[in-house]
Amino acid sequence: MHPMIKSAIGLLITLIVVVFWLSGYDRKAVEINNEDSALYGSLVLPKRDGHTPLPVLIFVHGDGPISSGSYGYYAPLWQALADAGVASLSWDKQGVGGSDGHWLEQTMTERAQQLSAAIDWVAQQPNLDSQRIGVIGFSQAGWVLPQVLAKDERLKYAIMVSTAVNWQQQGHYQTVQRLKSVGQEGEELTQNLDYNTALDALLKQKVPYTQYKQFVTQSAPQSYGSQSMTKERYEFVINNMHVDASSALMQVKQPVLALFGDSDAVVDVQNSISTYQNTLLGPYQYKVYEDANHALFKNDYFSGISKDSIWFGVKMNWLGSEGFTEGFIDDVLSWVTNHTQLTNGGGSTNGE
Amino acid sequence: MENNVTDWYKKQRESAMWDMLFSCVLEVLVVFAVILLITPFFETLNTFWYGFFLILLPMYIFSEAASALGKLRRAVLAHEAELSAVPISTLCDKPIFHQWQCLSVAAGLLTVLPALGCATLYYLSSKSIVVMVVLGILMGIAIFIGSAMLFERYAIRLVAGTLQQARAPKQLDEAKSIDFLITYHFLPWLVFTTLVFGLLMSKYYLGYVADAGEVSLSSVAVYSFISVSFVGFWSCHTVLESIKADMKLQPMVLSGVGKFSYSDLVGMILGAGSIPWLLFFVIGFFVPVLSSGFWLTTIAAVIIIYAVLLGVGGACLLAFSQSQKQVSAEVCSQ
Repeated sequence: MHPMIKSAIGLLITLIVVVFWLSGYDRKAVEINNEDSALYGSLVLPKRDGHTPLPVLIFVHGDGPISSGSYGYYAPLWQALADAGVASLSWDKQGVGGSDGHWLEQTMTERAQQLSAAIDWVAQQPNLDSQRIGVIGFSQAGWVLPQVLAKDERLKYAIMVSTAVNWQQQGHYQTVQRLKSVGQEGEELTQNLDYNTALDALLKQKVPYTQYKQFVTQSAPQSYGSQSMTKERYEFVINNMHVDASSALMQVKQPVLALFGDSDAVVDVQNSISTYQNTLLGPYQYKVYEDANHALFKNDYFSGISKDSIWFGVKMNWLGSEGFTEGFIDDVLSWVTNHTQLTNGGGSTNGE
Repeated sequence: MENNVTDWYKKQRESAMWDMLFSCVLEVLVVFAVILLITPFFETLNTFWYGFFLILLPMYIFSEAASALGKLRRAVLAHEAELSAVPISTLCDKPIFHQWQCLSVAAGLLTVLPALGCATLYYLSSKSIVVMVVLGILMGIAIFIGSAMLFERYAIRLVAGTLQQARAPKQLDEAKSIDFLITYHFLPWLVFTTLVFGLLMSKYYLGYVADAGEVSLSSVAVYSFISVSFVGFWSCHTVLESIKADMKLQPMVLSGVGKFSYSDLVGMILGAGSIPWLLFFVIGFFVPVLSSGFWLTTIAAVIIIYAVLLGVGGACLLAFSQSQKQVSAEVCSQ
């Protein structure tokens, strides 16, 4: 045998060991049935043998075509949870990966039904503990989680990350932040906000897409900056823009931890904090991290990088837990372990 | 004399090993990276990854081995004079006459082992991006080991077969020529290319549909033109030198083929590439968008098959035209 083949075999064995060494948890492909469609996802399990059913944290995505692991965004959380003996469950949004349908055709109510289907699925798994199910939701999941928490007592606690309460209020806030971030003020800002108000009014009427396109083409000020939506996105928005989580929040009795970044340009953090404070029935705790953005990444690492760019994905995966704001993973872990009685008997929490 | 052959073979073997190592690791990593970076990136669509490991890995082993053996065959041809006194019986008992004869059922079953190994490792791994990158390198190394072992097994037999053919070239009639070109050049690369590029394009389309909800036919038209051009030129480049060597060792007959230059080849591939572009553009008037994964995958596969047909066909025409020119030049000089 040529010496190069022998060396390659040696290298191959080393790389096999490296793969096992780097794989800190087991990630299994799962299929969840939701009415007539199937959701494909990942069940992440700790790498240890054991016969005790595991507590599980269900992940609910934010906006966009997101796969079960959110392209690596969840990996540091999964690792920390697996190390603590907690399973994680997440799925590809509809139309992404293996899941049927298309995520842009969904309403928030349908997303809530998917979460319920996932809870049903967990309850049927012998290796998962149906008495210790929690949920963590990101951004847009703020309109999904309260609907399920309000009526499903199998969910024992929730973590809301950068979530909003009212769709239209959030949209307006985001537009203001976007325009201000490009230096707009005074008359220019007023003109653009007037246009935005008119656009919202048009969307509320659920006008045909062609009429919307015509309005954008004819009326959008040059400095408004945002491009018109695709037909699918437009329909997604007009089908969901009425959502407001307030009424569902008033029925939530489970403990809720809300986490935000102080540089969030998408969600009105103060509005969410105060609404949660005034509406939630159960224990509530919140935290606002310094120098953190909407995804709770450190501003130092991610300011100026578009979230859609591949560079964002590469950097996020490279940095792993280092990319997140200090304390985020620990806070999630502490909340989960407290409420699944893994470490300190699941002490209750008080509102902050 | 035997020492001369041994030294010559050692040199060829060494060079083939390094070529295979670079080719395996770099080519596989490029394809792996492209699949990795097409949404939904490295996550989900697990079938693509199992397809990648279970189907592409064995095929890559054979394609890399066949490429290395093809190079060795051309080297024999180039050093024929140097090796003219070597008795073929001293080299081996069972010579083979083409690089693709390394493809056998037994070898095929053996290549399934690393494929199963990689798929199992993928199944057991955490499937994070770092793990996927390591798996990509590991796959490249596994392909190198497989193709290098195939090379070691068949190299001497191919040297013997090539020398035997070079010493007594047998002319093939037209039917046999076409049969030979289809069997040893078109079919192996058709299967390989369709699976590799078909997998890439279908994943791209599926990711696109998940993102935007649909793909416009005008985009499909543009992607089809790009696919046909790229895959056409790539296929042509892959088989051209090998076909030229075959035409020297076994003079072929392709009636009706006249002069065919490099510019004709470029014109042919680009011109034919514009046919699907035009077709989808016209269909776009009736069906402006597509969102069906089945149809998009079918379109991707058909376009790649068409491109391979063009690329290999173009290479055959060019090689034949050049071989005829050489024959004419030899006749004139006599």
